[in-house]
Amino acid sequence: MSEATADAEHEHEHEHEHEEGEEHHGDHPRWLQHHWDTPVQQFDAAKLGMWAFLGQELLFFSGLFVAYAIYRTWYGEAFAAGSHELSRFMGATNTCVLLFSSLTAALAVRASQLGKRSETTMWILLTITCAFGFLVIKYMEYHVKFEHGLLPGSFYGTPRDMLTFAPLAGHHSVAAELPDHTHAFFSLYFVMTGLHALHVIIGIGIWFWILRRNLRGDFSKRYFTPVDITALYWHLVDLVWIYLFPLLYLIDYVPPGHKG
Amino acid sequence: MSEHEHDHAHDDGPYGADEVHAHVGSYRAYFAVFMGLIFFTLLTVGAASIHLGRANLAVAVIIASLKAALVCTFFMHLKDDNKFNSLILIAAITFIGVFFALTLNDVDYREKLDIQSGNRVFLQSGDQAPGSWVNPIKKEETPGEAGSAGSKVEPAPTTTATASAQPTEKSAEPSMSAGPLESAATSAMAAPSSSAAPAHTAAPASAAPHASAAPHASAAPHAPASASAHP
Repeated sequence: MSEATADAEHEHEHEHEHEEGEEHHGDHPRWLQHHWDTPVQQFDAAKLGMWAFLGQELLFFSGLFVAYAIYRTWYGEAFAAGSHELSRFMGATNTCVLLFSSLTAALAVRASQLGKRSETTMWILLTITCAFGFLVIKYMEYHVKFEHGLLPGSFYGTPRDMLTFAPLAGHHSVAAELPDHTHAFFSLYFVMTGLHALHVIIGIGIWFWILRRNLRGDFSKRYFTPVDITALYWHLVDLVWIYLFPLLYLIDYVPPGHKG
Repeated sequence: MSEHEHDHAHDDGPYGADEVHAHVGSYRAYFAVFMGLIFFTLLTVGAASIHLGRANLAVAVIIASLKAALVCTFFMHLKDDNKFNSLILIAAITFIGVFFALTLNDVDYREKLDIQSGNRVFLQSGDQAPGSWVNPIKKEETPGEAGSAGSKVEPAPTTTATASAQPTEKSAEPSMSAGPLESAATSAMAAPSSSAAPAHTAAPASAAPHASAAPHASAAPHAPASASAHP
């Protein structure tokens, strides 16, 4: 659509008159919903709705952050000990992966704003790739925690062989050496990162849907709202991680040499 | 790659001024923001390995907030967006602030009101402020029943403010491991029983028949205080 109408769109016509070649449905383009008068009205409403949703998401996550704050004030030592069990390197790598995916998401919006369909496809694919990369790294981290029995809640301290009924040579319970209440840290760790990972997974699904619509040619210079809004959601996922990373991984970090 | 596309897509449709005029940021700007984000990530990792005591947390949160501001302003287009969207974000942050402030204030100042400064919240009655601290003497005297603790020790007309505060401590364990969070949650549940218990048991001050009928359902300390002053 964008190729065919690119020239025609430069004509300055008055409202409600359309050039030939534009897909019509009633007297408005297909992408403009019937109940909106103008494209800008639809765009603003969509963005407003998305921001309201994002505000809700922030408040939703803030409950966990408040819980984190309370438990950290009570069990500061346990939180530091639990934090030291996390891989700072993997956390930082994942932060960079997610930040990069945010960049590619922003560039996907930019490309679709300019009506460059294939470029949009490329950026969306890169974003999805980064999202999968994030999940893979997350899986590796979780795996180590499971090996060490650093599990949430009442499962804390359960050795791996108790879960899988498989013998595990050289197993030693890391959990047993940590201070009391460290299970509180790992409960919050798994809930917060797990909920965040759930958002990442949902985001991947939405990105695939947007990718399909982009390939189908739904978007143009004049209508790129879904790409824009999906990117907003993706940036929110990034925002949450921006806070999760230092709060979970970097509590009073002591370099391995100076441990004690 | 680095073409300067700072233009707004001008009137390229039949809706003229009512077309969506997106502000198209330049590649360079987006990459600069990304590099800034990476820089702050490295900075926060570096800052975490410096021992600053409690300031470490503040530094980490400030750096994270700078990163969040970068993402919101540029990646999320708030800079060129309808200002109302920014207002929504600010409103959300404000209420998160309220959430944090009230909760942490409560958590931080439990126990301290009574023990450390001897604060008295109810100036008229001289009753102690409700908190998670349990007077051990009161506790011994009333092993099982809730509500009558405050009234037995103090001869002065006891407000049910203390009575409604006490069962909180009875039901929860006195040690910190029980968690002030739980005691806060149980106080709401304990309040109705405290309104029922003193009426039938020994509590002298609140034994007035209408005390049980009084609106004790609320756990707010002020309302019962005036209610039980009547007998």
